[in-house]
Amino acid sequence: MTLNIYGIRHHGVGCSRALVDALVEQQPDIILIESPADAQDAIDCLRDPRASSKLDDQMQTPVGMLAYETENPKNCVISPFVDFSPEWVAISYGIVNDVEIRFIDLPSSVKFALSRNEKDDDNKDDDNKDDDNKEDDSKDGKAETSAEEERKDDVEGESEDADAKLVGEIIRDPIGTIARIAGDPDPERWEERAIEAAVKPGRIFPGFLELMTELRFAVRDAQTTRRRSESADALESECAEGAEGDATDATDANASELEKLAVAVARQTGGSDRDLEQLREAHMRREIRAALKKGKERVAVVCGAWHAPVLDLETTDARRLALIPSKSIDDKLLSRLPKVKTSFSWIPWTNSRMTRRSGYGAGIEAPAFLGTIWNESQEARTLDRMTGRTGRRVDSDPARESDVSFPYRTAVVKTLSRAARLLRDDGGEAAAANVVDAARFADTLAAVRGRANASLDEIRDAVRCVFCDGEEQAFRAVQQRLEVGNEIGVAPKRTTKPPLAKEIESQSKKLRLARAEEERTIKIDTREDVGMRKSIFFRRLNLIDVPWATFVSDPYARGTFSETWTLAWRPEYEIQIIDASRYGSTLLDAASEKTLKEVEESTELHQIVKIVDRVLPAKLSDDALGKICRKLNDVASLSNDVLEAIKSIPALVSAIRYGSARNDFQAELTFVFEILFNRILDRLREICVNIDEEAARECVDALTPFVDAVALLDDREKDRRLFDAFERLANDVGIAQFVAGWLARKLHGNGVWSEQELGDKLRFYTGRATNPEDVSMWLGGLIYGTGQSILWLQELWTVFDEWLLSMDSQLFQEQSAMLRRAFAPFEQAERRKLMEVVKKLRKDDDQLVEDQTNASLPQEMSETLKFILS
Amino acid sequence: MSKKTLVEKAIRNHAEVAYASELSVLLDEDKNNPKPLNWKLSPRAVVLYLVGGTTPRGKKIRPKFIGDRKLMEMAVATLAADRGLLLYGLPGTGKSWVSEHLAAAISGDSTLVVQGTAGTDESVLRYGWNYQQLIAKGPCLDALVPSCTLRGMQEGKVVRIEELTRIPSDVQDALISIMSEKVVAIPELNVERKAYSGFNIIATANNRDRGVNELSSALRRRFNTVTLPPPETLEEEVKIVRNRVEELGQTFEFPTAPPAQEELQRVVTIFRELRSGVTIDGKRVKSPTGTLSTAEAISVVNNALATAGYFGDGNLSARDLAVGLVGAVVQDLNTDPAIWNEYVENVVKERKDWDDLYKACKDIKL
Ligand SMILES: Nc1ncnc2c1ncn2[C@@H]1O[C@H](COP(=O)(O)OP(=O)(O)OP(=O)(O)O)[C@@H](O)[C@H]1O
Ligand SMILES: [Mg+2]
Repeated sequence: MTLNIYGIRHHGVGCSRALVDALVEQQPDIILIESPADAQDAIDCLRDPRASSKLDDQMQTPVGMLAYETENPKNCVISPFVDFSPEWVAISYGIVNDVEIRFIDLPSSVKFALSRNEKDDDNKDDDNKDDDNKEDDSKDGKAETSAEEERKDDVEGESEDADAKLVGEIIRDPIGTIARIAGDPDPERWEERAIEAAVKPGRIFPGFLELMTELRFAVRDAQTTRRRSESADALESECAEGAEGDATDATDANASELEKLAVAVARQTGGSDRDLEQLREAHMRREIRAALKKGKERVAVVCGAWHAPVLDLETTDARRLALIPSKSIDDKLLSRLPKVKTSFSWIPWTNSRMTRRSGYGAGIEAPAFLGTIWNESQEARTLDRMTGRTGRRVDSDPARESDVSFPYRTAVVKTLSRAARLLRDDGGEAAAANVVDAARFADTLAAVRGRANASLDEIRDAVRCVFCDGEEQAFRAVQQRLEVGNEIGVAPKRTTKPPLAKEIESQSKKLRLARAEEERTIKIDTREDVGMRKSIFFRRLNLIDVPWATFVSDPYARGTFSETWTLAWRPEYEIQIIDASRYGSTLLDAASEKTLKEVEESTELHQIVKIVDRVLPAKLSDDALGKICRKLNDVASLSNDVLEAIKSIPALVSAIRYGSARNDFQAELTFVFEILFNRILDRLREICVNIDEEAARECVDALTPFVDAVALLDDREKDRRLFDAFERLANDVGIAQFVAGWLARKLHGNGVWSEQELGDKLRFYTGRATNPEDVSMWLGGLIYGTGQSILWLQELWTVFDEWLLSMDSQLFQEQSAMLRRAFAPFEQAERRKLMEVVKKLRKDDDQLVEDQTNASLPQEMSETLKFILS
Repeated sequence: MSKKTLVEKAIRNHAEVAYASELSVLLDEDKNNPKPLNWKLSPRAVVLYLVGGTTPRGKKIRPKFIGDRKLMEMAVATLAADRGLLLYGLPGTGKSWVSEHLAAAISGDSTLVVQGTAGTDESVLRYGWNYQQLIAKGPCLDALVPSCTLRGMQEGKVVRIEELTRIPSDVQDALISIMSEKVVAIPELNVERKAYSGFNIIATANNRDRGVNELSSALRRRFNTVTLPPPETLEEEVKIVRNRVEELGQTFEFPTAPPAQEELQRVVTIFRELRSGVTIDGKRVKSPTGTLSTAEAISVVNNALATAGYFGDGNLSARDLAVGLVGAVVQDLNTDPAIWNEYVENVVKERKDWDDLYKACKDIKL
């Protein structure tokens, strides 16, 4: 009987290559993999629907295994795989060789339950957030992916000293850390060299095991000295020490302590991440014991290198045995763990989300480059032969079989040649003939740096100085495409996808919309059937928070049939779709239901109106529209807030104008409009009295789009009523003069008041010996937000001029500040125009003025005007 | 000091002479390492010579280039991979300096230099004729005047071309065949001259000359371009200036004490602030027309030292520095004086412990 522990680095090409060799040599009869034990069914999804010992040949990496809380899909974890992920290699090997595969890590249902307390808090926050906070949602998803990293960062965070930081690094990426300590910035190359040094690649694993054992001891020592005071850790070391003394039995005292710990973990009271790690390792050991008990002869365990030493149950090495808790301790730890209902699904993933930069904790730097190395390796071909995959070129190269670093060297050349191609695609000059030079340069550079082969660093430098003329920007322009790539995977057919996801897929296929991460902009014509269907599709997706396409508002295309959308797919949208599938199994239903829920939860009139405006073009079901309408009606009737009503009108008008297939729906919207419109006209005065300047501005800011919206309805009767109300108010000396001034302009602008009347109004104010401040305010409102048109109102400026002249200098000083503020929004050019207008007036009136007043005044006058307008 | 010794000392030594002892140490230790044909040192030893450090046997090597080690690795690897090297960058970033040291370390000879100008013609890249001989004997090898390039080819040495982009384009193109076929044909004599291994070209070109005589794409394909950036940090730049000043001080035997670190820091700070347009405390200042390169900072300090040594009390004074600073900063008499005055008033005046410099600057009439 053999128990082989293959401790690997996640997504390490070297580890995958070694693993293929090791599996071929061991011929295991069971393969145990560090993945959640309750995801067992997910393995079967990867099989060909017709032949269970074949892989689904449509499926393509990168794919992610998504585990989520069934009731709350937003609580989820994604484990992404690429072709060269060792776990993926192990699964593929197992399936095609008819070897039993078991996932042995702590079930996701337990992990979710343990983290529920925290999550609940998060969700509370979430609910309070605005609905358009999509950004945050996706971040949420990302954090889930990188749960691993977060955890490790915590370890880093709480420790200031370098030692502790190193410990954190070791736990996160033990092989990478060793590589770094050994002076190699690239763990991939270190791995490769380690494997090269081994007699046969597969023989590397015992070496890794030794290495990790030493690391474990080092970390344990560091942690026990550092955190001896912390009970959980003291307990851990006791547990280990207890095991050292007697490997099969812990003392009673220890056992009861451990029980306490298990309960504490279960209750999430002070259970730390280290405790979770203990639980996970305990669970993996339990599964290994179970496999051995079942009488399996050749057991293969594929796990993160860090866990390897504590899973090697059959070891005879006393030192290593000391690290392994006994069965009874494990069983106690694992008893009474909470659970929640959990589901699994496979989703397409992307290369760019495989990178560390994207926030994925176990991410790799250059998936495209690593993929090339893997593709060139003998081991990948061995696996291909088994799986019957033919995609890869099977050119036989004797060097490939004999030379371990062959794929590395080939990948460098291929990557350089791809770089040249990418640069040429962008219009650069990188000559294909130079690829050989670049490769030779990269090798020489590696030699100068004392490295065995060229790798990513040397590729980068070669691209920079051979192809990019030493210009960093040129290199940066292709770097992402070169090193990461735009690959997007295909999920296996059999994966349990919610019907909603399937429907969305089939619709995208019908509409010929490919999922691509790269942003692109499309124009559609909604008079055409396809165009219309696309528009509706995009809008419904937006309603379920899948902003695959975002509407680009184009002010020039308003009211036309042309729409512009920007498309960019993100793999997290899959999660969003799964989350939305609780609202319905078709896009229409889900969008309707989700919107209805949103509407139900909104209390603000203008929010609901906005939703109405969004749902109309999305063509939701009549039933949903009816319900939304009713809610709108209720809120509109109950609401008392005039300003709120004013703010709601623009979106409402837009909805009415959009129209609807069903007249009764339109009638209902119009009815709501009437309610609001009447309320506004009746009670407009309320919001215009007893307010300060700021509130007056706010009021005018709300009224402006309101007036524009009403005008769009093109309803004479409504216009008449509106301006009647406006006129009443404009003549009302009790309201804020700023608003009154604005109203006066609207009245004049819409032909209700003549220029003469406008002048009279100003004369009325100035002549009435009212508070001069009112005059300034009124003028401020009059001018507010206008363009040049106001400048041509001769009558108005004449009156203004007269008024200014009538002031004594002190009064003028007092008013100047207010006046300057009133004129502030004017552009320099407009002010100059105004000066001219006034000067012209003066010339016409020169005689008059001179007759009436002191001859020196005009001069003074233009000085003061200059002062105001400067 | 007698006039004679002064003249002798003042001549700047070639790198292979000035650093002969370091080179021989390296040569000795490097004996058994594999080297490209006709290289004096192995590529790794060349990198060590450039970036400084300690040899395997514990001998100290002074850094020649201060900055990112990767750049020197790239430069050396370029030559080792038998491609032309184009050092590119702003003025005064050490391109010529690095090129000279590369040639010295690789070929033991940095004297094969072509200075590129608008007047450079093909004879400087290929060969010319001694007309006296030509008339006397007709076309023959005796009448042939080989260029630096041709000599480099025949001796298997590195040839340096300074300011490549100032050379007219059609003349530049003579390099294409030299670099790809590695022969120079002499049709007049119906012979050709082949290059021996070890021959290669290091060219330098200046950012500011961009677009003057841009390299043709055929020629550019034969070069790897390594861009030398201006020193990234104040510390780095101070270190560059200090190294050079100390070395030159030794060569010239200035009767002056080496300048204090703070003094160098002050000069370099002023250079960096004016160059970048922001002060170290984030204030915006105007940049003058000149480049204000590290090379100029070096010469400001050197001149100040020389003045102090020969005309002053042997100590570097604020006045001597101020004179040099003004000289470096004020290049365009229309705009620069105002920029400099503004800087003196807004920045120099405000700095703690810069009073002496402020006074000295104010004393200089522009
Ligand atoms: N990074 C650096 N390391 C060491 N010395 C440097 C560095 N940058 C500049 N120098 C120094 O600056 C001086 C001038 O450099 P050099 O003449 O080589 O500049 P250059 O780049 O050739 O300028 P130009 O474009 O004007 O020809 C040299 O003495 C050199 O020591
Ligand atoms: Mg130079």
